[in-house]
Parts: sequence; structure tokens; C-alpha cells
Amino acid sequence: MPDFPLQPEISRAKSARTFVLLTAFWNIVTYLVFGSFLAAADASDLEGWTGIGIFAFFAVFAVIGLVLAVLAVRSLVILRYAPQPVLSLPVATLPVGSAANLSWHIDGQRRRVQSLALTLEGMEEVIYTSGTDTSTDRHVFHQLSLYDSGAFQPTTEGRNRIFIPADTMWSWSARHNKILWQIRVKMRLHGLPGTDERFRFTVVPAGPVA
Amino acid sequence: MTALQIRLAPASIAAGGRLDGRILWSLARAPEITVRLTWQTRGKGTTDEGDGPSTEIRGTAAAGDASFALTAPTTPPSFSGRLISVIWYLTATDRVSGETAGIEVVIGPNGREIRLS
Repeated sequence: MPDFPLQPEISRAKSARTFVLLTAFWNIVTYLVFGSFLAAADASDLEGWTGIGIFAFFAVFAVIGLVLAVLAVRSLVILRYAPQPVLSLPVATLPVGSAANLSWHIDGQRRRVQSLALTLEGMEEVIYTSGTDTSTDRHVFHQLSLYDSGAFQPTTEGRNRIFIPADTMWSWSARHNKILWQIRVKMRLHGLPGTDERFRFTVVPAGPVA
Repeated sequence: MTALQIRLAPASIAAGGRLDGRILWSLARAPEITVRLTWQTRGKGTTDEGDGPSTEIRGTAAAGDASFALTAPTTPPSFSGRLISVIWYLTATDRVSGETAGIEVVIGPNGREIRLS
């Protein structure tokens, strides 16, 4: 029987690329704007409270740039060194009220894994606008622990039976409102930042008539 | 009686099942009525909406009634969560007079709304 691999919601490569590009863009723009301001300003413009205010203003941008740089390095370290969870199901879609065996293992430097937890989650996700801001909110309506190593040395492969309740909502997506099903994999790693990744799969209505 | 009325028995139906109803009208002219199922989200998120099946009723007199049947869609079902609810409506709109009537219906597995805890 073929296995259907589950893909992470955001791949590590995509996450690293996004952070690196954002960091480069932010810091280059901050450097150019601040640099050209300093070049154009007279020494007298930067004296006293005016100068402190100007430096404080640019310091905010510099701190954001620093945080982005830390996140970029973190995502690159995870991409390069962190062990990778690999999950698969024997079916492409799972009807409500059904069960399937989830196969999983950890690829890469398994010895780094200090703790591991896999959780089945059904989740509501909404996008809403408040003024000019667009935000996303999530609520987990179904949660079931599949494996949790706790304080013990985790195993790095396993098989777990997943049950989707019969009276629940299947995967559904409109423009601003979604019902999602996922396996959440949390790892604490020796000498590396921890990871928290979500692997989506599709739950469908039961039978010919749902 | 208001100008346009919908009568359904019952107002909950299994997804994929048959929704039978009756439209009653008392208008100035013979109506051309569209009966349609539509859904809408309620909750924290920006509202999404969509159309289900529809049917046309062409009245021959200013007052009268006609029956209709629609097949209830399988998805999305009526459901209610902490952030999202999906509500189905049956609406009747007369293109001649502009009169409308609407009623909330439940479309779900075994005719029940799914409740997400």
C-alpha cells in the first residue's frame, strides 16, 4: 500500500529563505537611510536632544534588524542541523469517523532529540480585519496526544492510530475561514533551538452522504 | 400573511438529502420567484458566503402558492465552533416586486448541526 507523506505547513527552507531575505532587505534599507541622513546632516543638527531623538528613532529600526538577523540565523541553523520529522499516512484523505495508521520517524541527527511530542489537532482558523490590520486567530477544537516522550529519551520512529471523531467537522476552506487538521510535532533539541511544526492532512465527509 | 412566505417542514435536513417546501405569495402581480440555498459564516473572521442550489417558480396569479424541492449540498454543513459558524439560509426572491423572504435551515449529517467544542 502506498504511503502519502505529510508536508509541513511551512517548509524549513522556505522559512529560512523568508527570514534571510527580510533581514537583508530591512537592514540594507535602514543602513542606506540612516547613512544618507548622517552624510547630509551637519554636526550641529545632531547635538543635544535632537541628536538623541534621531539616534533613538533609528535605534528602533536597528533593534528590529538585529532581531530579524537572530531569527534568520536560527532558521538557517534549524535548516542545516535540526533533525527532520517525516510523517506519512496510508491514505490521501481520511473520512470523519474513520481511523488510519500514522507512520513517523525522525531523519538526520537523531541523537540531538531530547524530547518529542506528536499531537493530533483539529483547528479553526480565521482571518479578520481590524482597522488597517489583518490578523489571524486560531482555536484548537480537537486535540489528542499521539506520542509524548516527556522526560524520557524519545524513540525516533513509531506508528500511531489516528481516530477522527464521527461527529466533527472535516477540512474546509473559505477565503477567511478554515477548518484544518494537522499533526503537530514539537522537539526539544540538544544544542539547537526547539522546533514546533505542523503537518497538514485532509479530512473529508463520511461516506457518500455526509 | 406577509407578501412572501416560506414553509418548510422540517427546517433541518441531512446533507445530500431532499429539502421540500412551499412558497406562498400575495402580491400586486404574478411573481417570478427564485428559491435559493445560501450559506454564510458568522464569528470572529471576516464573513465568507456562498451559494447552493436554486430553483425557479413562475406564478400565474398575484396570490397563490407553489411547492419546490432542492437537494441539500454536502458541504459546508451547518456547524458551530468558537471562532466560526456556518449558517445556511433558504431565501425566496421575487424579481417582479423585489419582495424577499428568508429562513434559517440546518444542513448537516443526520440533519444536525456539527458542534465543535
